[in-house]
Amino acid sequence: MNPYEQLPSKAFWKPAVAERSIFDIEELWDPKFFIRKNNKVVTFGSCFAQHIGNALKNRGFNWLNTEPAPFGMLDSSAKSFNYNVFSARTGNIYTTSLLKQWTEWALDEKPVPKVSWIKDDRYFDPFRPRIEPDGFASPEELHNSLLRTTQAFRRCIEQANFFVFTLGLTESWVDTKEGYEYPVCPGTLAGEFDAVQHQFINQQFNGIHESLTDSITMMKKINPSLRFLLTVSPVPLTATNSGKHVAVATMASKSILRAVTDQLSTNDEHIDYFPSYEIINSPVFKGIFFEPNMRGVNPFGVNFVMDTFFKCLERKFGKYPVSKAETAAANDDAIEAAHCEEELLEAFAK
Amino acid sequence: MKILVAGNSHIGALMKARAESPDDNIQFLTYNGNTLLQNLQVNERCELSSTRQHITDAIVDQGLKQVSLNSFDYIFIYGCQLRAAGNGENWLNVVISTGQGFSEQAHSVALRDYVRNTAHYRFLEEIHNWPFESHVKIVSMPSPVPNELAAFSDKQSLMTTENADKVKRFMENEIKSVGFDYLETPESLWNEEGFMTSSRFKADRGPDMAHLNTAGGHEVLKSIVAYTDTKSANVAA
Repeated sequence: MNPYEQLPSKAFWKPAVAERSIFDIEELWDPKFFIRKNNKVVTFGSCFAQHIGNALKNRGFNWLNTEPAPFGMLDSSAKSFNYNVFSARTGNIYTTSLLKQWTEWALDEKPVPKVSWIKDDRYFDPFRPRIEPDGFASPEELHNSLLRTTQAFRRCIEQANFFVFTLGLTESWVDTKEGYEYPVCPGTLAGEFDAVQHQFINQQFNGIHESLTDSITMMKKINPSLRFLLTVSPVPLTATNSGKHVAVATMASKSILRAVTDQLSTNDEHIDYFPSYEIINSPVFKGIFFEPNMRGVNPFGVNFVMDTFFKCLERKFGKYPVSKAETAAANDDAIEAAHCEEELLEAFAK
Repeated sequence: MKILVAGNSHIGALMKARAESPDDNIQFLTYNGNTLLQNLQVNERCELSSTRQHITDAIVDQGLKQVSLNSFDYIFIYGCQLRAAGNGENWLNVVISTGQGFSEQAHSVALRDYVRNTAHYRFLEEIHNWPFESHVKIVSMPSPVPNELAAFSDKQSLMTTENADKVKRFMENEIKSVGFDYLETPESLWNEEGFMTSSRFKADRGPDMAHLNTAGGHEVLKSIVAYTDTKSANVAA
């Protein structure tokens, strides 16, 4: 007898993939943790993380929101102010180094910078350039808002049972003078680009791994029971500054992020990985989950990913009780478009 | 001077007050809950009707069948979610939210959403197209805020007079921006801090913290009459 004879059918391409309809492919994820409906789950990261938060909310899970919108604000307005998008109003956290930066601010490891970009007499937050649709009225208002979000982010770390983080990019922009990282290149959405001060860094495996490990270590110091669920965004880059073709840069970037998540989730019992990236990008699924531009993920794809997420949990841990309201809401999963500053880079395409 | 006051359950206190001090110039159109305004329509003579039987019954019972709204000089739209929704707790939430450090713009949008999402505001938008004659004045009047005895004591401690005033001013401006007059509930109703209704005016029903008693009804009626008198005197001058 050899080891392969003992393996389940999911380990073999023919029965697991080739002989199945793509919609019958199952057991893509063997979850490490049982996420109970009353467990507090927070979601952060790249654009695709928003879909996970929405699906959790719609299915009656305890998606924790530590920075809710002002009372009375309708959902449509709240979305334009980036409330209820992530568990705190961080905007997209594309890189693991940005996650580390937020964590350091939240845990008082580093001071929250007082910096703003001015456009048409309004003040924009370099770390959340689209957080308010028209920017802030003053630098003080901006800074107070940023402080409020770092405190909300801290509450997420303190209170959550599960921290879901979607890794999005390796390409990043740093301020060499001040030492912090921006989620978008200065001069694109607001601010002015300074070729000396603003440096492009295409992060590599070791740096990404280290930033994520450092973030997790810091978070676990104040919440030792926190568990992490990592995903990699399946959405290709809008633009690359790497000098490579954007398709090649995308593949490199996602492969590195995927390798980091694999190493961490394989070696740490408190870290799991959910394969949303594979579900959308694997040739098995023939690209059917992409919009015609082959970048955006269509609502059908988002629903398929999230259905897979919950099916895998139920397969391992048993059925969740579902109310009628949740069923109705689940049918609306992810119809909303995700908020993504990076997409605005497309405006610079010639 | 003929006055119609249309609205929901908050009119009950006004009706009791009028019963104590009859005034033929004031008429009411009321139905509990928030279905009245959204189910009203008028014909070309500005006579009320409704496709809903319970509203039609209310129109008939309250003596307004085949009565043109143009026979009134003032029509007050009273209550209907403009402040008392959620048994009054929404008022506390919106004032507290004002002091929680949101950006000015986010807070304005939230208040605007809050006002515009009421049956009261939607009705005001709707009746722009009704065939009113020019002498008819429509006045928006919010319901009283909840009573200071309300069991939201933990929330009351988070309220400030300044924030309550901000919300009051915002509501007034928002209503005026759609072209209607606005009458704040009389000062005599408010407690010392100016953000809750004084306990003297609590409705007699035990746990009801949203509605006024008859004494409160008198105060509101007095302010309505005073408002119409002042307006008419200004016009005459």
